[in-house]
Amino acid sequence: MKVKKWKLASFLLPCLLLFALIYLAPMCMVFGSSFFEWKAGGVFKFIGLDNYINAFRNDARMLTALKNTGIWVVLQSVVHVMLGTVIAFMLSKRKKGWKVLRTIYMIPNVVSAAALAVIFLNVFNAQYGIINSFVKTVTGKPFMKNWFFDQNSAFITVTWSWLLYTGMIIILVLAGVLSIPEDVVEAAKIDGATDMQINMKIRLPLIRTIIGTCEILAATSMLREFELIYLTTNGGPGDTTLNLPLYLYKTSMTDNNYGYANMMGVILIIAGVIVVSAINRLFKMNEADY
Amino acid sequence: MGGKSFKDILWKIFRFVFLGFMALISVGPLVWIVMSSFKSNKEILSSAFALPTSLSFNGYKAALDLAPIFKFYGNSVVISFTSTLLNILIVSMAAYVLARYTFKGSTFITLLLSASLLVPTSALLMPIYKIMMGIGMFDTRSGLVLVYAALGLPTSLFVFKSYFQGIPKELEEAAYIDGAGFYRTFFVIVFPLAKSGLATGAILQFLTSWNEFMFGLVLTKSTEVRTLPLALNYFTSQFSFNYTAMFAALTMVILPSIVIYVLLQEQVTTSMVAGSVKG
Amino acid sequence: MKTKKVMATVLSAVTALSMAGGMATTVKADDVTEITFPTSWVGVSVNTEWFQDRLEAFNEEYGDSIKVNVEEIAGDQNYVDKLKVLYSSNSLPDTFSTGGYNLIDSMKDQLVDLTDYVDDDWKKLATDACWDVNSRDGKIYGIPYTRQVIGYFYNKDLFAQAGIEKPAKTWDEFFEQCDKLLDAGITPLSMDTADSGWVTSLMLGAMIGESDEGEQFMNTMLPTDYNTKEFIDAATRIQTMFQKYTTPDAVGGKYENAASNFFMGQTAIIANGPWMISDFYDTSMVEDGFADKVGTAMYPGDVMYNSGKIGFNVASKDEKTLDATLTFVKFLTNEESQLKMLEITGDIPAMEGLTSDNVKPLVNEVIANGDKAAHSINDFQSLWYANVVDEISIQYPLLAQGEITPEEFAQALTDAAQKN
Repeated sequence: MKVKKWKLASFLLPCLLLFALIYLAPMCMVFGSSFFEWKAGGVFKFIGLDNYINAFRNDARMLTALKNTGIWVVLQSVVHVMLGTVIAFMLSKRKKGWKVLRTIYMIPNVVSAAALAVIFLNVFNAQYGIINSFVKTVTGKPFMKNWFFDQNSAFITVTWSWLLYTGMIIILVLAGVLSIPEDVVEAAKIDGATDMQINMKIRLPLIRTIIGTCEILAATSMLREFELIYLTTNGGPGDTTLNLPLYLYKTSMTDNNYGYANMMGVILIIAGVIVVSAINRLFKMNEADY
Repeated sequence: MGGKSFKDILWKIFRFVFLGFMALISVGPLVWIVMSSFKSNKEILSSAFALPTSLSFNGYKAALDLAPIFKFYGNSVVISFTSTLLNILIVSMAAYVLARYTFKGSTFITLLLSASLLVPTSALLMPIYKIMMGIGMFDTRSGLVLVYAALGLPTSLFVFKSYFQGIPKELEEAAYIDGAGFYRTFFVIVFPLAKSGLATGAILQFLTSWNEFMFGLVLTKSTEVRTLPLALNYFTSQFSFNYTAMFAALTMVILPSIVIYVLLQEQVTTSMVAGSVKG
Repeated sequence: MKTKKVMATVLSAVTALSMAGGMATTVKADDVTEITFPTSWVGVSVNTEWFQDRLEAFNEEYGDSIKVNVEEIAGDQNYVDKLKVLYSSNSLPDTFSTGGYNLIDSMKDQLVDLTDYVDDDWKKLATDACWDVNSRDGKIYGIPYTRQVIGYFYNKDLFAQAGIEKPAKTWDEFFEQCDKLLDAGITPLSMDTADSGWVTSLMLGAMIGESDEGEQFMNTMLPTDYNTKEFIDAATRIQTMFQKYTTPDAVGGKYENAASNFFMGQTAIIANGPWMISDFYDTSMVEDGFADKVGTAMYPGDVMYNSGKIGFNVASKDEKTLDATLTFVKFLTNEESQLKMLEITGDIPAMEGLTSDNVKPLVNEVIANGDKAAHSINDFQSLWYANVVDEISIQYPLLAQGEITPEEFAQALTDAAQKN
């Protein structure tokens, strides 16, 4: 079917305009100023690639932030998406209560990050937190682990605050699984395939692009994650839970070093393009299912 | 046979415990917030997980006294709804074209648009503030609607695109043969078929707009246009706090969004059931 | 069908709400000068009541010629963040007041140099120390209205239980008292690390300020070297405090946690300023009669925080708004306003000798302590670089757990300071 070019353009244009206004223009500013020494007090000087060179040569904190960001991207795109997909498949059986569960799993996504941070700080509080109280009851011994602020547990505790909350993945995958035509599955059943085989060989491949979408959303959310870390550990203790978006925020808002901060913005965008392209390839996102 | 059913029982127990645990850690926060809104500051800070000693609505009264919650409420509802509608309309059109047609530059446009997933908010703040000042949309509801619709752009784009890809092409081709044009085909045939995907995108978009804080703060200055998340900060400052009021306000912020989520979700389910009959 | 009905109801409610919102219109006369003033004095902020009172009084007197557009920004951090965005796009408001957070050094290129406008009469409204904190290179960039007078509070009942008669005169005695409290089963200190670790850092500064060199360090604007003997000694003692004398939730704790432990009688000592005193009477926070149990003290070595505090900064862009802005600022910082501040919030006036019978006795005790102090120091929040204050908060947990030595702690702060 041949459609006139201008008709396609008319569909793309509003979205592109919005994009240009809210993203493209700011991104250009971010990109351009990453080559300047730009600080509070009116300092504005072209320095070429110095910001980039300094970041990788002399800034240990930058490398830690990059490393942590990387670990979180991997964890989120593997563990988080897998967990959400498994739950969605379990719910797709439409056993009693599946609708209620689907709503419940989404609750943490509905609650704002500011509220979640307060809750987690209390749950993991060393003195009266629910985790420590539980351990104390079970073992009968006083237990005072300071989850968020002990160097050995801070990273895993922060990770906990998003890794298990897969509500968004669940609704995306569930909507996909439930819209698979019944007859496709029926045919396989007649051929004697087990439930597990149907899931792995038929349902999963059919929602490939949706899983790919989940991967992209999960991975890139970790390239922007900021609020929950800022409001719980603020990157500490030391640099244990510092990631790149938080370091960017601190560099810009606390150090008032705007050029250097925007350099990190560029690094994040580049990292993101790599991640998105890789996932696009891996899940063959540009090919239709039918 | 006996072994298999034993395995079945084990699997059932595992599934029950697993789903139950996940439900517990998901619903826990909400329960805790609602519970805390009935406790005094003393109780919240000294025994965070104890039940309230009495059912007092003082927190709610204090919350309404301390912050202009109702005014912010109205704004949040208007802004979130409008930005969701706007987002769905324009992003679904773009997503449809990108999902169905390959032309010179289509991959580039997809990649470019998905780059918006990657821009850190803190880097966007200052440029967007300048732009909004420049086009005269600073301190207006429309300005926030525009920005929020854009914030959800990448998510909606991916969601819509993957759903459009899942719709069989034959239906559209049949429509063309029947003489329907491009626009008609999209709005009359494709749009309804992708309803579950659209509703899913709408939920995510609505939640984004409803909970957004930083742009709401920076792009407005008068109480007349501000949104609900800004109200939550009226209850803690550097050296004073009223946790009871804060949790009461939080309850008032969260419950409506759960209601809206459930309503939209219902929409998804109904349309999916309808879809599977057709398919 | 049900869904549709609900949606319809919601939508009509929305329309009604947005129409109600649109009805508020403003009448504007030609000769009215408009000025902008964003403030965090809203909601639970200590200053909310005071500001409402003063704004009303101002409008009564000057409402015909000056219109103050107040932007409410709840939360101190949000307030500073928004100002920074406005600064970076060169659109600071006519005036703002951060309540101690130092923005002068990072923004002074856009602030108005007020030196020529502040005459001798105006100067009398604040002590020299107050004007000093608000000046850079002899130029005035801020109008002060309060002083910073901070010692510590202690729980007399708990002290009596441990057999302690009065607050310690030296740090050695202070730690002996801590041991006595421990022996009596009482946790001695309230501490925190979140935000700037305010309560903890007050103790740190007080220990540094005990010697003459230390006092000088604590009165240095924007120090860049923390590798001094006084600082490292103080950090060592802070480490001990974390490890032996405070609550398990101190590390990672916020001001709220530290305050609450003191309110509940779970700790015997907390360092903080006089604005806290009104909470000692608030029964949603404390048991009835708690205020009678609280005593005030100077830090060992007769050290007190006794300094100026950053006041109103002005960034008006033309003469007309500048005039109006100065009228507004002058009104909020005049004798009457300062007195009201003392009475309502317990914050100490910038002007010397301003007293009122209408204040809580504990406030007067704090003021008296300030006058008696042998060493007067500045607080870290107004003199140190913002990123050093941020760094402190993420390094404290490491120091507390012995992951880093006091020397490494000092070095981390030095590194942060030198980034500026």
